[in-house]
Amino acid sequence: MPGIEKLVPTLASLPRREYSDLIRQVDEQRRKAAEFDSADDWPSNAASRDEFAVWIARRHFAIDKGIVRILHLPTGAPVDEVRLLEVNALAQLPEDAPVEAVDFMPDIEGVSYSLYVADVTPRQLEEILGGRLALPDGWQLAGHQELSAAER
Amino acid sequence: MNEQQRLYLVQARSDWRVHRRLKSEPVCHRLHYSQMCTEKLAKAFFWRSPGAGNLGHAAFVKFIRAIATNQNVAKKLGWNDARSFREWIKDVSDLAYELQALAPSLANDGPNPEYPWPRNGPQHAPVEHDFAAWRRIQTANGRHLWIMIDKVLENFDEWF
Repeated sequence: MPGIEKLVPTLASLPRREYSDLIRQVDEQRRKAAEFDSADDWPSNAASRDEFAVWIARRHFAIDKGIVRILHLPTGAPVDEVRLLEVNALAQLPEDAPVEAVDFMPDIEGVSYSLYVADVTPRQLEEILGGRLALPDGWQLAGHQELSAAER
Repeated sequence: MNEQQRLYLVQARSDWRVHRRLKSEPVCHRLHYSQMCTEKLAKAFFWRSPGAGNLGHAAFVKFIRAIATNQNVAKKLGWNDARSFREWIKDVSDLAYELQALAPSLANDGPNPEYPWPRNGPQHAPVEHDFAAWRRIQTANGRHLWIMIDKVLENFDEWF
């Protein structure tokens, strides 16, 4: 596949009609591919906490190009709470400030889990893994699960 | 809604009203107010929990990520299909990064809507600059982002 730097001028030089047809074809193919990805649907009310965490992670990976890793930290969390540590290589985060989690308030029919997310930079994750930077109050790294992008 | 949320919300609404009054002014002023409005809107949302104090300028991208898991808001915005909503949010997230990066402290001494740059030897002024972010906001996805901001500001109390 040609690199983006070659692709952009090639596409830019296409006649308007040809370009519109191409975009339609590409969009159709992307949608077909997405139909095979069940994570595109809203999670059901039968989803376990771990399944819900996986769904959230896949969605976050898919929409935010800055996220490079997501860790699920279930140890010590209330049974209806998902805690995610999201490593973001693009977001400008205050590196010297304490790591804070915020309530993402998901609102999905039949799903009652709460979701707290703490964003960190790759350097902050290294500090956390090395025990030099504290997680938000009550959060524990022990037993963490690394969640993957699956489809981006 | 707690008092911190209310304070950020009223300021975001005011920024948005100013943004709308700037239609005949150079683009930099509209970008400036839209950047400030979106940051405050995001902070109004996240101040529901106490960890919002350290969000800095990087709040709006996070807000878009939170909206992506809100089926109620998706429906209210007219997205009945989860896949289409996800695709739209993905594009909007990229726009949100661009808007957020306009804050002078995040612009890395490059284009921003407030001050001439580079700081130590200015060569460009915002009023004369052709902002790539503005061109992208003129696309269909960008216009829908504007509509979303409008609706969220108007219905914040009911939706969240």
